[in-house]
Amino acid sequence: MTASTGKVVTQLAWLGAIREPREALAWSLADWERVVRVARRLRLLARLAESLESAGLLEQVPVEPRQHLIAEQRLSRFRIAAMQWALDRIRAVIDDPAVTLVLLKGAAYLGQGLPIAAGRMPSDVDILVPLDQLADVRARLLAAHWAHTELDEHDQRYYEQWSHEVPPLVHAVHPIELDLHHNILPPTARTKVDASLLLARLRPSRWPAWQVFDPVDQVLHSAAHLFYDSEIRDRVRDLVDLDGLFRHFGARASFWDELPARARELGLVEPLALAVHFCVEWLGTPVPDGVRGALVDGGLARSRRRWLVPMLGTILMPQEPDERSSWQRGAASWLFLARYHRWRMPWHILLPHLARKARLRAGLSPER
Amino acid sequence: MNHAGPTPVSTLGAIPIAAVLAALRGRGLWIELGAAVLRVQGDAPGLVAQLQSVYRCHPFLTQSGWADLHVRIERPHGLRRWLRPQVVFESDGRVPFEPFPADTALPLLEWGTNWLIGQRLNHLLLLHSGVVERGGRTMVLPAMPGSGKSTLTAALSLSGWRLLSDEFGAFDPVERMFRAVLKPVALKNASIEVIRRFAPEAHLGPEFPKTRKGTVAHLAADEEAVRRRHESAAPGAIVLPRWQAGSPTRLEPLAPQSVFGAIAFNAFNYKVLGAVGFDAVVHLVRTCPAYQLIYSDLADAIARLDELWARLP
Amino acid sequence: MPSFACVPGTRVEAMGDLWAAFSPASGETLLLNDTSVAILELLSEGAMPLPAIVERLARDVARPEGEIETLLRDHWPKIIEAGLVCVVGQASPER
Repeated sequence: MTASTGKVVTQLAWLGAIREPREALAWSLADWERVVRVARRLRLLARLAESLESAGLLEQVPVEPRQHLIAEQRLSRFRIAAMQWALDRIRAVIDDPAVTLVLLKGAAYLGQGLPIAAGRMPSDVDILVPLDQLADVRARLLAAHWAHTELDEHDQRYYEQWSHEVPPLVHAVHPIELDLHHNILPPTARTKVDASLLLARLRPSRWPAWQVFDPVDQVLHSAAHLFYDSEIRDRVRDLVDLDGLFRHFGARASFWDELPARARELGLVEPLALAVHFCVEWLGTPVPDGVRGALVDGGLARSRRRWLVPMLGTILMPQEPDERSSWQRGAASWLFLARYHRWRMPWHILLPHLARKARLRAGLSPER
Repeated sequence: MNHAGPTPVSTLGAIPIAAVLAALRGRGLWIELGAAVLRVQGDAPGLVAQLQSVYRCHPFLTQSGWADLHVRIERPHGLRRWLRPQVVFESDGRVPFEPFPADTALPLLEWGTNWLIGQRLNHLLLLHSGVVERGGRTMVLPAMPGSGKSTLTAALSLSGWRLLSDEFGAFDPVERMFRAVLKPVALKNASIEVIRRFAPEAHLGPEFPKTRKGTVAHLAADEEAVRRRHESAAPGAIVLPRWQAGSPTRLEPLAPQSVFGAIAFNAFNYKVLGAVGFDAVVHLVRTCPAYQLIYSDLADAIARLDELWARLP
Repeated sequence: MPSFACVPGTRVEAMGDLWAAFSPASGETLLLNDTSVAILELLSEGAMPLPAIVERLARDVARPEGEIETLLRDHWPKIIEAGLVCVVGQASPER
């Protein structure tokens, strides 16, 4: 484990420039070429650009990579502005103090003006409302020209019964998709989170009418999202986000006291342990002595750690630009997806669902 | 051994096919477009000859310190290697499109690269237009359906105008100059024959009959356009072409409010650039006289444009 | 009574017979006629409630208030949706 960790840290060393942009000035043109390609795929290039600009260092970057940094920065600012505008319009549509509106993930980071808000590349907006307000909010959005993308009856039922979110909403004017949630994890999953616990500890954001989770819950949500999501590729950005959240919220001593207890309360001990492990090993996230040991050892059974951590390590490690996929990555991907599907849905729902998807992909009719 | 200076670089068209093949299968071929450097690799059959034809005047580069775009055009693994063979476009670990039939490797490269350019080069305002230059000033030909923009751009490039691009009006909002994105001019269907008749000596690449846009062929950029690919050029005039059967050549001035939309809302990345894009378009519309060109005879239209250029303030 | 204001950073430039307007809030660009621009110009002096806008505009262009009110009712949603004008107190979120 130690040997492979050493290699990991070198391969990801460039990530340090996001927090310490001065490091990038030592890079050769070849270094820059690699970073531009990988960072763009990982949706971290704009983050690097904003860091360099804030530090007044952008002009010192060679012109070839500098053009890419500027280009990505423009794209990021456009998407962030589009997200903000969509949220502003949604607030205007809902316009009801009785409705609880919660920002999630990137929207929440932006709404709080966190350091990790700069340079984001949002393609969708995630918001949450209490389950008992969901139908009403959805109806108001549909009346304001938000619309679901084409879905058949099975997919509709999938979302309604087995998901923690309604199907994605799109709008003719807004270039960004809206994901409306009532919980942070699906109701069919093996790990269930009681949304009311999260809703009981909301905080205001900088934006009128919009609230965010308590900081400890934001971290736990991010950790749960990282390890309980089906997307295999390029997840390092989520780890970088977690590192940013730990550093920002962790400046407050009480945060580290509350974190383990809340993780137990919400049933998210394992994702938190994995998050802390990878953040510390890969990104050098400062975690107070004792807390790290307690979280990781307490959160991960030795037997699970032996196969789970290496598998996740293979998945999380970004592919180099000219690297071809290895058999290890393929095997780890298969394992990861199998684990995800088993976790996501009970077998009696999952098998017909997967069979149906396979039939659709093969161009057959969905029903036998 | 010649110590007189740097070894002149040969052009892609003049190099033995084996050398180009080796490059594509090895570290790659670097193609300088002006505003961007494209690196191509891959084992797609037929691609070598196609590249040597339509990039014939571009320098043959097998190494470079930098590329902006990294593309692989390859045969996928598995069954599709032999049965109804296909080729796939890959860039930086992503495959953005469905595969193409293996005998259309060049159109896939061209369209795929255009897509990447439209996505990536947001440090420039990318108008959807042909751009040619004469006397240090550019003529911008916005692309509208049925405008015949590519045909006219191709004909102008064969009539003493320097080609910057047939697809991208790449405007640097800081320098306020146009930059070349020098790729072969893509001609479709009837335009191919029109250009063949207009300039029988022109270097047209192979025809690809069954693409999604019909039959496609490419006109290689000439030696002068390639030599000056790094030269930016000042805005000159905006000309909206409209081919109309049987029509005499008419060049009619256009009011600014008509031109603004043609430039802004037609651009690839106008919205992404926000206020920068807005200011750039306002500047262009205010500094460039704008015209609608209605024509049916290509040679006559070009003569009229030559005349316009002589009078340009 | 709500007051309306010009969204800060809005750009308006003359384009022949029309005006090109850019909203940094929505990222939209619109081509506007003189009436719409007159509204923006009015609001750039300071926030105003709707009746005051109607009154000032009617005076400036020398048309009856009823006509201006109808005109505004047609244009108003578009101008707000385009992010050129906002309701004071519900201004676009600070960045």
